Amino acid sequence: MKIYEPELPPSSKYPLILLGHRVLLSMRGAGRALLIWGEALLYAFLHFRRRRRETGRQMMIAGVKSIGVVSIVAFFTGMILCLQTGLLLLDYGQEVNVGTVVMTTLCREMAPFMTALIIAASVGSSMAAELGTMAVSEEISALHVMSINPVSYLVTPRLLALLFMVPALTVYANSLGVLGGMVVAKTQLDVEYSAYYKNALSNLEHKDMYVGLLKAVVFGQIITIISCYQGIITTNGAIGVGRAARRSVVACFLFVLVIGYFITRVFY
Amino acid sequence: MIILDNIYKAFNGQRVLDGLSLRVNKGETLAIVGPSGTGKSVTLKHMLGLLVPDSGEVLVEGEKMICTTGGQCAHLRDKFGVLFQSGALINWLSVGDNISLPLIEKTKMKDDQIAARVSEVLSMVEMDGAEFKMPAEISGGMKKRAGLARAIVLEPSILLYDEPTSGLDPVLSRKIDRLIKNLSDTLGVTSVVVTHDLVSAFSIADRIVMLHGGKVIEEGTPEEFRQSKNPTVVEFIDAQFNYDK
Ligand SMILES: Nc1ncnc2c1ncn2[C@@H]1O[C@H](COP(=O)(O)OP(=O)(O)OP(=O)(O)O)[C@@H](O)[C@H]1O
Ligand SMILES: [Mg+2]
Repeated sequence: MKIYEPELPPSSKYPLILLGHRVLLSMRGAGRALLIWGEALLYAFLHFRRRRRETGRQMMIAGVKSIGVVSIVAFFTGMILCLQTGLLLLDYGQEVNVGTVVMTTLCREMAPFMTALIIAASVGSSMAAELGTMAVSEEISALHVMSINPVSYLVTPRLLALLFMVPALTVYANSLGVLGGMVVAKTQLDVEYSAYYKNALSNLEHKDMYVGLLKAVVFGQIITIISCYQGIITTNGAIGVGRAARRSVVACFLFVLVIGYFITRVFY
Repeated sequence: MIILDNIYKAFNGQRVLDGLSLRVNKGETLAIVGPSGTGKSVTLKHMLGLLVPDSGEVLVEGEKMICTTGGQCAHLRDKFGVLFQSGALINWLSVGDNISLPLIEKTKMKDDQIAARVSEVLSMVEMDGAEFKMPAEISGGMKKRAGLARAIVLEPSILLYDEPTSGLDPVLSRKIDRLIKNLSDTLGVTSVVVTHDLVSAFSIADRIVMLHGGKVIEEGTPEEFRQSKNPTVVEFIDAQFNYDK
């Protein structure tokens, strides 16, 4: 990784110049973040054996420790989805089809999206804060000096961890959401478990699953790169660490939303 | 041998280094003293290529230290061992893992050799048996000594110390001084020691330079330094040795 010195904030009284400077800085930031992504992927192949242990630790942090909140959110999302659409379908006497609606919505859109937001808010922000703290307490400089590439040492394990864990959690959230829907279908809409189950599976297409998983993979990469980049460029002590965490969450939400839309747009 | 030639560096318009020139000869111990905030740590970071000068250049063993795009500096950095001001231990690794990190990453040593080397350097800094402590559990002085152990574990040919004795009690400070002196005498390493502690500067340094306002304002052997007529230097020395002035 190259050394990136902090950029001068724009100092001009003309709004247009200020705006231009801002745009330029964000473009440069985006470019650097992409370079870090490329480098992290490269080291994922070159240093895979050496980073296995740390990758495992990160998977534990990212995956296993998020299971609780993902479970609750997924279950209730499934319940809400089922209740809302079920009540509408009830008007047309179509409540047997609620299984399809819940399954398709979760699979195509809601499960990856929800999981990504939870991971961005919990794991992403903590990545930014953790790397930010390392940056301000000279730990990243120490890595540079020991000629240990900070991207290989810090970013690659996190990238690999989320590469596996976001899709895994997405599948899990998906299943749990469908279960939540099943409970509501039975208790509120009087749809039998077996009818719901059959209906949910019968209309599920492979494409829905692939696109959902693709989204999960892409979201995982976005979250790692934004969070790690914000962490690495942190300056200004504790204030800077707080700002890095906030910025990473905001940026992750925006990118997940926008890129999520475009993936849907391309495939459907 | 390290040469800093006419270095200028400003942060956000605030000038920190103002035409600093400095030379560290092979095998010598150079102490850099000066008030807080004059850019001593910044100077060390320039030697390591962690900061890029606005103008001027840094030469290490005759090669330019350029670590930004297009530069190759890993082979130069491998010559350095550095003790950062805050210790800079990786937070989630134990003291032992921190010290073995460079050994694991840069050498092909076996696990038992690594463990032996780690306990050897830990005993050099008087921290025997502290392998399994976490950085968050140990005192500031211990962090510093663990950082020192990590800096020397690969036996570098140049050692940079950023305030090795600040935050340590006087007895331990003298022990660390002796360690630094030993390393330079027995292994012939080139050392640069940034310090506020004139007692240690006088006892370990071959040469002392004083930074003030981003420049070198005094330079000489400890004896010459003590005799200096420069009012800033005199004030600095008096503040530490002559109570009543
Ligand atoms: N990365 C940075 N960004 C902005 N300003 C910086 C940066 N690094 C150092 N400075 C500024 O440079 C000046 C010198 O800092 P430096 O850390 O070199 O001081 P020092 O001589 O080591 O002091 P001390 O003895 O307290 O460690 C300070 O005013 C500091 O605010
Ligand atoms: Mg300093």
